[in-house]
Amino acid sequence: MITITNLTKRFEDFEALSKLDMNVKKGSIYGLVGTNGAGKTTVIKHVTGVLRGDSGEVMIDGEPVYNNVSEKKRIGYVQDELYFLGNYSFKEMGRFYKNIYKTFNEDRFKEMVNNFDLDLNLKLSRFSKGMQKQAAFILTLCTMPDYLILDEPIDGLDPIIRKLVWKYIVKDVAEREMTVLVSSHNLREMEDICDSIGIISKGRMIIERDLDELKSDIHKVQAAFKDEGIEKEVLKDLKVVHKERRGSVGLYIIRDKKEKVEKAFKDTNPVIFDMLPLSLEEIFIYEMGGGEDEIEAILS
Amino acid sequence: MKSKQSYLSISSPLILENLKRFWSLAVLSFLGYFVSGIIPLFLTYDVVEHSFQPARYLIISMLSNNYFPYMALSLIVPVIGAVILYRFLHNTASVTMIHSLPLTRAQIFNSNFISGIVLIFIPLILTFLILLMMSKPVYDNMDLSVNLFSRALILAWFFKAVIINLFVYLVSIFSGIISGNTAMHMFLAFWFNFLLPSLYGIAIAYFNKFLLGFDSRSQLGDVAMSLVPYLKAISSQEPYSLLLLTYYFVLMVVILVSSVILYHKRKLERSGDSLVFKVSIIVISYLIAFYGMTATSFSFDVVGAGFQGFLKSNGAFYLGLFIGIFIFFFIGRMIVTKSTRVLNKSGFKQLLIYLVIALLFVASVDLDLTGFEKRVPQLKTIKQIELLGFTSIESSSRYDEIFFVEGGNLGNYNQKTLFTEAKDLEKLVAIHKNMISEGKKSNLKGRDYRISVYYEKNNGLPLKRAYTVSYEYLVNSKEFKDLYESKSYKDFYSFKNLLVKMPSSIAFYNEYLMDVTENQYSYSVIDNKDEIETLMEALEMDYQERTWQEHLDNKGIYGFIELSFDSKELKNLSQDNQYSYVIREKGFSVMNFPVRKTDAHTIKWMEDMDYGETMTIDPLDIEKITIYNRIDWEDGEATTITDKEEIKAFIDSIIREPEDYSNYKYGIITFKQAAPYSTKFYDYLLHSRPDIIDGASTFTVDREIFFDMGRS
Repeated sequence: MITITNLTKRFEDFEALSKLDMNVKKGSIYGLVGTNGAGKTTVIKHVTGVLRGDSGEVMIDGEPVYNNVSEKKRIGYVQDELYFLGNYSFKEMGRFYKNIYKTFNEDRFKEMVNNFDLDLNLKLSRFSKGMQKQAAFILTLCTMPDYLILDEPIDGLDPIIRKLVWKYIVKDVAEREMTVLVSSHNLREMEDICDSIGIISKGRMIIERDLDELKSDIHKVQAAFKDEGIEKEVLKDLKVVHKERRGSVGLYIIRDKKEKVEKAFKDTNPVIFDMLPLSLEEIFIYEMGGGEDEIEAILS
Repeated sequence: MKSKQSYLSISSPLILENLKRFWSLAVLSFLGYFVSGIIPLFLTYDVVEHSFQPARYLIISMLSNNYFPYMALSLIVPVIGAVILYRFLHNTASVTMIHSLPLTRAQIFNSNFISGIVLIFIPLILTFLILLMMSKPVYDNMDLSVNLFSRALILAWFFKAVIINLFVYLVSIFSGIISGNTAMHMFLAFWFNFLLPSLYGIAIAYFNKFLLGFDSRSQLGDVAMSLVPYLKAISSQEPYSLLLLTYYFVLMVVILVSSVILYHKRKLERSGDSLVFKVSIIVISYLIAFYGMTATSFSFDVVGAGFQGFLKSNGAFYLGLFIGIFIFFFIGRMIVTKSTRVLNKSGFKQLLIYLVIALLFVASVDLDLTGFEKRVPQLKTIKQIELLGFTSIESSSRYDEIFFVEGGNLGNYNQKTLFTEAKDLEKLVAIHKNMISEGKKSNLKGRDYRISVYYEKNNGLPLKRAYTVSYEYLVNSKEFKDLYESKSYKDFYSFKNLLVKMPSSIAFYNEYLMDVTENQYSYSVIDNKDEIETLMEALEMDYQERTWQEHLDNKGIYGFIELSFDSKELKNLSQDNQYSYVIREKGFSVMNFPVRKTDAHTIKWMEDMDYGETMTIDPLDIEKITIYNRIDWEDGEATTITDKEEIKAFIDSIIREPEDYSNYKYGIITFKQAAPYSTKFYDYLLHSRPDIIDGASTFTVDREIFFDMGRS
């Protein structure tokens, strides 16, 4: 389990992380989402022991990560900005990982190189950006990590490779109870893969919840009532976070339990009642305080 | 115990990986040593012991750490090694990757450090082993007891090279830890290796400019070169002293520990910046400003010396100082912040702080806030005083203490005299005080002299001062007169006090008369024991009777004496003088000095023994003397003198060096053909071969002869 408590990090006058809390359950896939500059990479660099917070704690299974070799051995990290030792071929890089990580699985390495169809003898600097990303995935997954940390992992990968990557990850999660922390802008993909989601903004954790729970708690409702006075009565006990009217039809975004919302509306026998879940992307835009246009798009 | 282990732990895979990645550095380094040193030695190996001088020179310069290719390698290889090994710190992607590996920071630092040591020292060790195998007796031409290619010398070279390389490497690592990008790392690595000597040199320049009595010529230059092993090796062939080795060791430990601590404190997110520590940003920008302001202020000072009033009296210096501070402070800020946007509130705030520090420093020196200039030890606290330059006024080796004191200051032409008697110390303190008040007048005209006073106090602490005084001051100084004419001084430099009691031969000559066919001065040598003894007695009597004014008077030089001492006699002396014997074998066994026209006993001896012709110019042999104004001697009016009496007066007024050029005239002497000087003529820095050789009637020479117009 990854636990971040009250983590604060300042870069000169800029507060990159502010009293941030985060909990990643063992064996889960945790999606870390946020706008550009929200602090996702900074969080990840703390989790991988690269950076040290100004205050707060970053723990894995109750042990601090920073400068802790026994914990860092269990972490596999694919960074956003890739780096390979100068002029190394894929094979040489594999040998380096094998020397550093005692858990490095050579059979899996061969198998994955074969499946991803990469040239072992080619210098990594000659690889395309996407191929380098694949190589980084292979190298990291072959260390058989207990914790896999991925920073923008699918940028530059084609859909087939993406699927292959996720297949390996899901397999490791299922078979070895590997814990995955992944940051990405591709919310549709995150929605498909993640168990939990943390949304951060300006260095603070805004929402952190299981994805299903998150999605079950916020709803888009379209309804029309026989009498205009009924609307007020229906909405008075619900957490309406946005509403607007288009003719006789009201459009509402309500954060509440599905059953409670359904009951409140259905009890008044509305003329029209339609209840839809919000996608992760919609929730993200809404939670991030998207503009009227974005909200309009969610509601339409 | 746990923390101790973690601080010393390494990662073998990382070291191996570094060696695999950077082995080419070691190979290139070894090739450098091999091609520039070993191969030339191989090529001359068979002839090196048979007086093949270039090979000897190669061996000497190599093993004394003065061989340019080796010294270049000793600087470049450790710097490059540190740069490539710690380059991962200067890029966001690499710093993230390396630090996400299951390694502690200590492991990463130590592993890279050890990798560098291996890469740098393997080529050095291989070169050392090859040299050891090649070593064989190659004797010094000057001293057949010295083997230039001994194993001991090779080992000494290796030891020095290890210290130099290690020091440069550690400084380069420190530079890498505080810098944020590779360009800054490289720049700082080269700069910091010479930072201490350069700062020391700059401080000396300020002290020298402002502090009356500051002695920049004593051991300060040597101290500056000793601050880092690299410069010390270049400047001196001597092995590092134990004190120096201790200092280097402590300094290296401090640098290493600082690097480790700073690496642990380093904020990795600052990779890519010029510098990663706030304090280093301030310090480096201040240092750049300090160098810049020094350069501009001293440049302005030189230019300002040509003006009058404000600019002459330090005005130009301070103008340059302010301009330098403003320009170089912001240039420094641009470098350390990697931005041209430095003219902002923060920049001006830092400028203000720097300005205050810089002015405090310069003003404290200029106004002598520490009371440096007035400091004269109390008589009762003084153990002894050395006076330097006091007797070197006549530019001879007559007062060189190596002839009088065992293990004296070898080869130091700036003769010193040691005083320990209470009455002499009193005189010297009075002289010191006198020179302070004289120096403050700042009114030096004509020729000046540098006199140094070195105190050793009862508590063991030294105090060193040096003053520039005028000839006029010296001539009229009652204190100097008393000192020179004192019994203790006369006794000290008496010929009765010589280490080798009697010279083996004595030569006398006139430096204005030279036999061109033999290419030597008009020269007579005596080796008859009786003659030597009687001449030495005459010289001693003249020395004992000589007054301070006569000592200083460089007019009317009769000729020159050269005493040659048989160095074999020195072999019975102590170990210190065994060393001086070797030195003297190389040219220091001869004492030479002028014979003044006031040295009546010596001149009488010369004339009685018929050696006078060797020493004197006979006016009858001179056809004419042409006198020019000194200032415009090429185009100015010339006066020709042919009258024998006038010629004699001019010959008598020849001086060796004018005290004030404005009062003297420049002249050319034209000798007659077939005079007794047919093979002895006036020849010094000749433009062309004298016509007399070709039978022409006259010849001229281009020797600056100065006539004292007051006398003629």
